[in-house]
Amino acid sequence: MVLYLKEFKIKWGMVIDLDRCTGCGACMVACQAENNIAPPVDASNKRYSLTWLLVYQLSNKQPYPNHDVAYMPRPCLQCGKPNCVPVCPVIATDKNQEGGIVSQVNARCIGCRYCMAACPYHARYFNWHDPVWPEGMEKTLTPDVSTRPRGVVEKCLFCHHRYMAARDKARIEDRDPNALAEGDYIPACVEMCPTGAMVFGDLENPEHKVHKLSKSPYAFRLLERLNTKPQVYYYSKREWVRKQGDNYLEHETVGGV
Amino acid sequence: MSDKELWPEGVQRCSLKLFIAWLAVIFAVLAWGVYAAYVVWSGGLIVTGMDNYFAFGLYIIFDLAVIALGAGAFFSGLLYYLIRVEGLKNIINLAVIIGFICYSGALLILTLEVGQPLRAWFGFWHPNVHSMLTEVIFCITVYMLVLTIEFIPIILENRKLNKIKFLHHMAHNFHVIMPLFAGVGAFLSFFHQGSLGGMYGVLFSRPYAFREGFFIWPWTFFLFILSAVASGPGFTMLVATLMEKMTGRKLVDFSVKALMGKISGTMLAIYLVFKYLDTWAWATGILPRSGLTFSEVFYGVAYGKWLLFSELIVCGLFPAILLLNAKTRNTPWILYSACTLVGIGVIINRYVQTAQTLAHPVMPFDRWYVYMPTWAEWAPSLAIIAYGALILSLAYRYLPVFPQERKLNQA
Amino acid sequence: MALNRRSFLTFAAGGVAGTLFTPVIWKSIDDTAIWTQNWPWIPRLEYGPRAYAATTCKLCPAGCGLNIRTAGGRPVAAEGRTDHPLSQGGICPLGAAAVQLLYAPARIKGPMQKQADGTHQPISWDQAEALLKEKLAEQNGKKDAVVCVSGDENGTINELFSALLGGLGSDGCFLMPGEQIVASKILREGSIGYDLENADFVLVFGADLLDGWGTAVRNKKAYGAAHPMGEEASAEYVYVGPTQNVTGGAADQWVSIAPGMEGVLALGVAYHLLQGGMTAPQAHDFFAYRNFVINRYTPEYVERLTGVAPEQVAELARKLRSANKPLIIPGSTIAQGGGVFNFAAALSLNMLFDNVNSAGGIQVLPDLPTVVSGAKEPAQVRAKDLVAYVQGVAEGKVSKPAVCLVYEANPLFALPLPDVTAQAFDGTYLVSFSTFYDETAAQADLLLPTPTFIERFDDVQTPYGSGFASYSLTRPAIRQPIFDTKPTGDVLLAVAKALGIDLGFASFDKVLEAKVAVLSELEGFFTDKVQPWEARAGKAPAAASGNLWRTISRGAVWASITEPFPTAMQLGSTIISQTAPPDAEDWTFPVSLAAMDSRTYGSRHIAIPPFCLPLLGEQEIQGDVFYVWMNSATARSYGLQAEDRVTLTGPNGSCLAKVRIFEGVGRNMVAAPLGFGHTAWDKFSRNKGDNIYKVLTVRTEPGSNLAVWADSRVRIAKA
Repeated sequence: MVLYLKEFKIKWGMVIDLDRCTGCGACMVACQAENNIAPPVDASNKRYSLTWLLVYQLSNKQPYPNHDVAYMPRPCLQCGKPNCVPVCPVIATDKNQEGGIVSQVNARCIGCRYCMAACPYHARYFNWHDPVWPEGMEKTLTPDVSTRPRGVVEKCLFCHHRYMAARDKARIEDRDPNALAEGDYIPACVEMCPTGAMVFGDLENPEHKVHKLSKSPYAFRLLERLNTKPQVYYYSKREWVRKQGDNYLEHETVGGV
Repeated sequence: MSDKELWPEGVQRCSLKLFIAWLAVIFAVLAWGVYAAYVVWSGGLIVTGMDNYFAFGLYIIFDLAVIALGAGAFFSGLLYYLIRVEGLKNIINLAVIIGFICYSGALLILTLEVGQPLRAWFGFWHPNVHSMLTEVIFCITVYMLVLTIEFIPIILENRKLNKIKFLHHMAHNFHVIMPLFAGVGAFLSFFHQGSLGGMYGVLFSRPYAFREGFFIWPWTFFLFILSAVASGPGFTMLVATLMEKMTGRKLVDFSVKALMGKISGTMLAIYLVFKYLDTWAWATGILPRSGLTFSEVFYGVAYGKWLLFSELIVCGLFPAILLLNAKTRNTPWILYSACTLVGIGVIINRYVQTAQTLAHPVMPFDRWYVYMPTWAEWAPSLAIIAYGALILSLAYRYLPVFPQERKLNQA
Repeated sequence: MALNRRSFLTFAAGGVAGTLFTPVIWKSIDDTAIWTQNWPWIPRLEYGPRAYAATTCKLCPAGCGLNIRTAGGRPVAAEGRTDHPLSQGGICPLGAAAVQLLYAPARIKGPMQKQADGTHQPISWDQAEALLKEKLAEQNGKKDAVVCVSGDENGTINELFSALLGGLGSDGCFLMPGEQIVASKILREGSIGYDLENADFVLVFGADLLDGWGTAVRNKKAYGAAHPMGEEASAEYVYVGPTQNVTGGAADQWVSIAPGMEGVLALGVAYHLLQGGMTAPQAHDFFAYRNFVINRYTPEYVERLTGVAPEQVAELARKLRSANKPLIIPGSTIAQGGGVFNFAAALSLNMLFDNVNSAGGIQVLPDLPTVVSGAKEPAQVRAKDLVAYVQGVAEGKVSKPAVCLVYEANPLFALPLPDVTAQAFDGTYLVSFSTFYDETAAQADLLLPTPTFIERFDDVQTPYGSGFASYSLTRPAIRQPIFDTKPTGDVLLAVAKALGIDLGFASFDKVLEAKVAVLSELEGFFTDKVQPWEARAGKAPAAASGNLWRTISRGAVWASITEPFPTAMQLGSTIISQTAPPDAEDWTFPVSLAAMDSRTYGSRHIAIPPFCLPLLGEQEIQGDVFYVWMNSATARSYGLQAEDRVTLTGPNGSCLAKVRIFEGVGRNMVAAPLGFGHTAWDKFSRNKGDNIYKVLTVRTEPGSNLAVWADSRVRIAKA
């Protein structure tokens, strides 16, 4: 389905260092606050909780004492070749804006959930019921991201409103909004990470750190061989982590060094 | 009190009291379904067994299954009106009504399935031409209109209505142009049956469902068409048989049933050739390329290998042989059993294509979950079956659905 | 023409068909779709000018800087502050959820008094303060009849408490237990800091450095900076602790030992260092230390007690020796309840490397001078053992206090053996200043809710674990408190005044101003240009000058790296040998309990906030049952499988949980999270899991007489 592949001069992307992520979850909380996600009374059932960003725990599956863990924050990976976009019957999601962020228009979404079926990363979430904020807590809604009713799909947009704000700021300061410097635009999760495990920038811009990091032999993308071409890269010096990131079979060699 | 004058000419029907009692049972089930619909519409889909992993559930599986089984309508129409397989005229009316029930029922379920039914028309207004689902929305809706048009002359042939001259002529004219609609219906059906399969086949990031294919159509596109035409005629025949059992009257000559069985068997055989090729190519090509082994995509009882075996052998090869062999095909109980197996096979196929595709954890650190439908999904599904029973009951009682009925029941 | 049936039908059908050619139906379909996008029961966004208020977090003792983002004056999000050396732009999950806590349903909306039927009924602040004054006046002059339990380790508010209590004739000002009390047994004045940023080898014993211990976010920043992406690591981190908790999982190496065995392993490492010829001539007690270690902590002995192979211990010693700036951090996995032995033994390794008060080493940090007249020195307050006191009261050895003031603490939940604590305070007039309806507030006779830190002035002085002395202010980000709350400092001053005790200030703001004023007498600098660890490494900062209050109240952080007083270096051979545990096995409670304290589960006085619930994994809680973790070998030996229900039984209580098989837990241990099992609070945190504090074992450490519970043991059985 090459029909939908569009190339961009700017590709916003992340490189997430899985050796540095401690799995604390500050990114997840920052994301919820930034994007006005209502707090669940019981989030223990992951099949219903709504988390644009979710930290998975990876295990090398070795028994004690050879056990090792890694934590993998999973935002929407903003695939270069998203499977969710071509399947949407109403163009509620699209990838056609410079920057390569896969959009999600909640007011357009009819809630058929075909995009969720298409996404192998479980990055898309459905509002199984209307969001409920405890009394008064709706006053803490940020003015940046609309609330969503039940029956629509939503997902991480790399804090797209921050991108818009950064572009506006550049215009006001008479800079080129298509040549943002590293740090002008950063999603909430990346900004808050206490170990600095997430790096954000334009993958196509050699002046941005992610450009070089994404080409590191230790960098890999999740399920790379499905050919979704995510704009989120992971980074680990541990072979088992890289191996697990892409379903390597026993006899296959692993990318990286 | 009697409604005898509304019955088709020269036939016997049960008492109105018994009929009303039967309708009461149907309405009880319908009411349960309507209540479920109210709960889903007012509070959201949280009451269903669907979740973040199972974006699709019983609603979709049910829809896919009834649309496949309703394929008897378009395929019989195609064979009768365009290819002129004369024997089918004795069952074509029933095929059309079943098609109408299946498609309208599927559409009703879809209004529950989509999270924002009041925006469902965006599919027409803001269509994404690349989406298989857009094609499904268009074709199903248009085909629904075609089925309605095909159903109308049958209604107009009601003894009372047919006395009205205008309606009588109208019914006649409808019949004259029916080959056109049969053609349009067949065309539309090919596409939406195919697109329903294509919906899964294009999921290149879901190795369980993904298929390569021909031009823009993945193999599942064609497999869904073939499996639908293989199961549809048999299902129509089974419904006729069930109606015979329930009413105690002969409705369709056995030779017609056997003909339907033969059509099913032939199409099933063709389907299986491709299905086997497809499964082999998938297991040895797509799966290893995705970093998966054949065993990895099966899990437990809900998604076990027994389903594949049942679908391909017990409900595939086995009934195909029974239906292609004239001797077995002409033995009523074998014919019925074989067609039942074919129906079960297509249901299993639609189930695994939907549920197993979604259940298979593509991310290696993810895990399998098992999907269990809740009452809020069973109730509307059963209500659609009740709705079908309602339409069929009314049609049987008041419309000349079965041309052979009078002759077959002359003692 | 009469309207017969046929013409009626024709008319109706024509009417329907005709309507399709008007806009009516199409317009209403469109309107319906628009309506679905604006459902009135979904909250709409409110707009307004955005602003930031720089402040300091008070949800746990780590003292992170937070930027509270406001829109139209409403706080909407908590963000990190890049200019704050204790967080450097980072944030922990609890801090990130701070703003939403403003509206947590568990908030106490105004002062309340407990009624005869056990319910709390609202009263006015005047009534409340009068009541408190009356209760305190009754005890005036009676020795230790009034006690206070403060959960704020770093605030100037403790000066008001100790001064008020002093004025009433009481000495009972306690802090909730933390690492500081253990440290205070080693260092009588000032506190111990760790210069992580300049170390190139960090060996952590027990302390969950990257989660619930000390300056967690700053630690994470240092850890992250030492592990730059795409480059070689500039420092190696080794964690010696029971589980692959956050620190164990992130560290370059994890050595699993049972809680309580840290000291044994540390001395095992010391053995190799000493055998390798290392000396510490600057320490007076070097020879005593050397003899004690060499004679007792032989590789065989250490292996028998800790299960760590001798080669691994020798390897740790080798790594330490090959490092340029090794730093050894002692602590308990739950940042409380550790003993002096483990602490002193691990700390002593630093002395062998002579890294005291040097870059990348341990630091002696000053306490800031007190400003409230009659207040006790922080060191005195820190040294008081609350758990021992509570046990004494429960056992009848110490007289029961008549009034107990509880501030930013939840002792009826978060002290070991909460039932014993409840029993100890039964009959005491309990006054809670809590912001939230916690377990202690639920039992309290008088509720005097303090505003959240986003609504009040407060301060943070040098949190434990920091590598430098610091001071920053907490300031309101909202014009008016949301509910009818009153800062506790102001309540205390008003009540003191009513009692005739002169604390010297009219309001708590003035106390803070005075506190800031004394900073100008100290050698310090603002962290806007030079960070304390850069200063420690040799970069000279400009001394803080100008109007300190103005600068600090706008968010600036004051820091100091000046050595407060000359410290006599000792390896601590006496205290180590006195507190060394006997090596007897406990067969009644055969399993080591590795309790875990994570910011994901809230803090000592904050239950899991609503916004942190999605962080809990499927293997942490399911519905209302939580999980305890063990490796598959341990589970097998107790006949357990994943998802089995188990009871953990300690000497005084038991907990119900499910089994999670996690191979990152050491042999014969069960790891269990603290912070679950709340019974008060709100629907977001109530009745989720069970309270592990119930199964802790409190023992008295010989030689130090300190209450110790970090090395608790339990029995496990299938439930």
